[in-house]
Amino acid sequence: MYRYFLKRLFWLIPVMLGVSIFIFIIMDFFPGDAADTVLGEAASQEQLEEYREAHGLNDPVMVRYVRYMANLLKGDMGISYVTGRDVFKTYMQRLPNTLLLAFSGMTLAILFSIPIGIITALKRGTVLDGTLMIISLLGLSMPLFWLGLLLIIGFSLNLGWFPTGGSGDLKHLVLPAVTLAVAKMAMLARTTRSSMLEVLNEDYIRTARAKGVSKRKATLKHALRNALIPIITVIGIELGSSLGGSVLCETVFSWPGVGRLIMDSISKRDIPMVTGSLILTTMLVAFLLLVVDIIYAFVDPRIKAQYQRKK
Amino acid sequence: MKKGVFLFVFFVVLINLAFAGGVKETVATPTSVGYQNVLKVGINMEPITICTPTKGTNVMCHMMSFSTHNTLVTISNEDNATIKPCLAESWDILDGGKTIVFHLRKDVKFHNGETMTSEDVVYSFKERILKGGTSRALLSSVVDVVADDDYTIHFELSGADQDLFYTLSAAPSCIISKKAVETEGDEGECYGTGAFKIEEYVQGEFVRMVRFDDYFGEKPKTEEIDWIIYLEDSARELALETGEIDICYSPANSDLPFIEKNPDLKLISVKGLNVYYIGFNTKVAPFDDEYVRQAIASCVNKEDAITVAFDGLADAVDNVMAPAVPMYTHVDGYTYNPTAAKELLSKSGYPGGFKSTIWVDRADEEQMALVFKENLAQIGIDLTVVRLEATTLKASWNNADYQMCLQKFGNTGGPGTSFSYVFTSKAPANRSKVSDSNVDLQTAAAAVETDQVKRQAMYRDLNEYITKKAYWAPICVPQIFVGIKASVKGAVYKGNGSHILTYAYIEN
Amino acid sequence: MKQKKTKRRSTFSEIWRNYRKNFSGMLGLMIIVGILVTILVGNFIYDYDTDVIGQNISERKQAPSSEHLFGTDEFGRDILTRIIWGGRYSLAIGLAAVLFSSIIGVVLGSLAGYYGGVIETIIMRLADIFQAIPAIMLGICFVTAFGQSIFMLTIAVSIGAIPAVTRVTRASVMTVKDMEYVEAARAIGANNFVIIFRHVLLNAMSPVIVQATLRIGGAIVGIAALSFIGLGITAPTPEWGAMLSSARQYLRGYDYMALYPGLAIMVTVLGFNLIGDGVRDSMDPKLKK
Repeated sequence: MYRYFLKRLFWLIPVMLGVSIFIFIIMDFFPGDAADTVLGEAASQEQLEEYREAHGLNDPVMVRYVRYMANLLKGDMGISYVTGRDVFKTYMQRLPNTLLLAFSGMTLAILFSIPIGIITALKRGTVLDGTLMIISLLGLSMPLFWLGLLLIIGFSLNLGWFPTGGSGDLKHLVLPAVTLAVAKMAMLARTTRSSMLEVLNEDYIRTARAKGVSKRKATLKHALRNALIPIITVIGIELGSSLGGSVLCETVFSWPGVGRLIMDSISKRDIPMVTGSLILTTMLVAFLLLVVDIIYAFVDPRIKAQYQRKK
Repeated sequence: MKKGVFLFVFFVVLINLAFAGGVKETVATPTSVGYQNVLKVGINMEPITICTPTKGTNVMCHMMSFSTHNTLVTISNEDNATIKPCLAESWDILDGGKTIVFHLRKDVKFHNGETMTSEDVVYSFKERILKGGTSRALLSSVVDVVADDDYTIHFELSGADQDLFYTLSAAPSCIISKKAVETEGDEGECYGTGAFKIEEYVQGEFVRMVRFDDYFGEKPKTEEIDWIIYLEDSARELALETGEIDICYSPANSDLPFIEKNPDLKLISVKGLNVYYIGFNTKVAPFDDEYVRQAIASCVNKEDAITVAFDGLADAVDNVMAPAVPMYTHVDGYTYNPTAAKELLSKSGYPGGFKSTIWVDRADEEQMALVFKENLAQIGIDLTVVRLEATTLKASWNNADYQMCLQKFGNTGGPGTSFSYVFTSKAPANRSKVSDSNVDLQTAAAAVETDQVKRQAMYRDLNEYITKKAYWAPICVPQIFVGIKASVKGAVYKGNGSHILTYAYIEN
Repeated sequence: MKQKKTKRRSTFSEIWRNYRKNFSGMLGLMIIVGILVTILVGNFIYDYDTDVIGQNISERKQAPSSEHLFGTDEFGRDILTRIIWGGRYSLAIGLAAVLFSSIIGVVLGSLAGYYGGVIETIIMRLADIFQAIPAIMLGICFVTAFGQSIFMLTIAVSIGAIPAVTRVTRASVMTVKDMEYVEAARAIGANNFVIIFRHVLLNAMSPVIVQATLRIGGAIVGIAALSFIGLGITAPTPEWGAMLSSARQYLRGYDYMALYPGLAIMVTVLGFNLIGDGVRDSMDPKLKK
């Protein structure tokens, strides 16, 4: 089994390579470059050319890429074209913000969705089930950025309970985290419900009930444990997608996270920043998914056996 | 059980992150000596070149570097025209204006402890500003900068340059420490001579400046200025209302009524210096035809555009020179008159109209362009509004498909800059690709004219010539607003948005 | 052989029969049909230049009233009209994007699943690379590089989904290709292409189709998201996401400008999600009652 995971880790490397190549190539197609961003509109053609020569922006894509990779192997992600500051340091400064948002959103989502999923599974077919499922479907269908705007209107502008954006203390975290949580809540509730339903119908539950185990104990102890497995996977995947896809939430709430950093860097043609940030983000997400898979394998004895069978 | 462990781990992580990483709080320091220690300013842009002020490109950086750096001379805040000494105590104009000798102060210290000498000044100009700094375009008359002794330098110019002093007073013309840059590279520029020094810059969040005790000039009453970044206009204005910040830079027009109504706040308004205009690519048809440009200039409903984009808080202009620029004289220009526009267009080579595109990169420009699209349809001009990303736009001026643009221009220098920056053949921001020898000659002549009355008349003529030729269709000059706590005093608010907050304070 | 076929694959009419009995599916269908009809009717009632983008500065920023059911925007344009007209872009691009990603994903996934070996490795590694980059970043890069034409926007929105479709198709194909009827087909000498297309693909399609219908909502939100950050449909065209973006300036005091376009998105996505649920339930043999 460990060989399987080592293999997965090993495959991360060519994927990272692929990601970096892709970024370099596609950014080559962007109109304008860092010279245009940094030097402002007063710059003459010569000033622009000077800047480009000085930073090697005129070299062909492959040359620049090889230069970048050579530095990367030395552990140097370069400095931002725009701010001149170290790419890795800047990313690390912003990463905790995104992590905080992603984890808070996820926690909130889990807190509400798992109980809801369990309840609706147990009370399948009732009015409660129907209502909660409709609500969760609504939550799933709501565009995140719209929800964010609505929350700002309601709780920030009209009630004045929370600030409209930025980061600082817990007050600033509430609205963005709730926004992020709603969509995940809906998804997780539905997943929990269907997972629970599947498990509740399984033979071993009926066996436990037949043996006289109370309904409650059967649910919590047996069913949930087994239903949890696909839920964990979904949590992991959703967490991964929050890390990368938090752009919209960060934009609406001006949250200083990594998603906005990448977006701003793209519009400023800050190639080292974009490349470095995307590689780091991708690595983080891939690692996270790997961890989820490992947990999954440990938790589900069936999968464990399956992996042990793999060559 | 597993669920419990899971949740527990999440909470632990959450709490750790909350206290460790992502939450930045600017701590309120205890007050003393009658003035509030820390002044908090909300700004609307990332001041990315704050540590390299000679390359400063956005207004935020200019504004902030006035607190951390100094220039050789400054312009008086009262009349925006008189030159006052700063790092230079005095100067002599010799040789018909071709040589200017500056006598430097001897008591100026950099934030890194070094004393300023002529070496630093020469280095600042020759190695930083003239080599790629923002002011370079306006210093084309400078041939050399030479140190005569430790505290004297002189400029050698190719000809008398009346606007030189304005350019020398602009933020990107600041003096930096030669030693700092030589040892620390570009970022060594952050050590200025100003009343505050940069303590911390967290990208995307804030810049913290602390009072510099060895400053040669008047010491500010405030000990620390925190410039906090709020990209969202409404967030920034709300922060002012809740007291999170003391000064709110450029609140959104729709939020101004809230500031006015609030008894704890005050709304400051200043006459702006930014001109929004329509530029034409005069190198391609149909914009090489004067009548076409004049027709368009007569067919744009500026009042409507101002209503939509600025909620009415801008002044419509019909001259290419902004009224607040020194030596401005009003001339008659083109105002909204669709009948006259039709007539003008009929005299052109395109009486039936034509299709065209107009490029913009900002939301307010886009809104105005959309209003003009409606207006111009009346005379048969079918306009498509194309909104490009700022960087893309900057790279596209030489594209063959560039037709019209709607941009803004802020004159940060002397009167001559209103022309030398945008209308001469060598102008850095010549969006209409004007290549008119009359303009070049007149601008050059005015630049060296020492008789100020004659000079004003020359600018009047230039203004009239270019306005009549409609190289631009000038639209409006928005008012500049600042929201402040009513108790804030000592700040100077300027029409180009580069307010001087060094001496702002709040009494306890 | 005939028996095995019916065991795995429901015919279209069978699926439809199941679907009609499905409450959420029918509700979704009604919503979407309703939206389509509204857009169609709107196309004939409204004139683009006067009603949709025509400005009326004196009537700007008016709250909802009997004259303007959803109010007017900063240019004085009626918001309800713009929402009805704007639906076509969200629907067209959303559907086209899903079609595009499905076709590409299915082709790639089938090749990977059926042939295995080097082909599979290359395709799956490429899928890994594109899946590693967050979908919205991919979209942003594409649009910045290649412009904001409708064609490019469709591709930008669909790119992020292709790896997932490829994966699902491959898994499905791999499951199916070992089934007995494929071996039988080979035994009677049918060539590879025929096998892939007729037998493997048609049987592997059900998870793909279910996934596709569920992805339409995501594509609609995707184009709205791109327009929201300014990289999608440009003014004055009334795309829902773009309308939300310009409403941000006017949240305080004019919140109706942000309410209705978002509501339109939500209802449309809800409709497609309900349809997706319905399709999934009708095609899933396990849940057949």
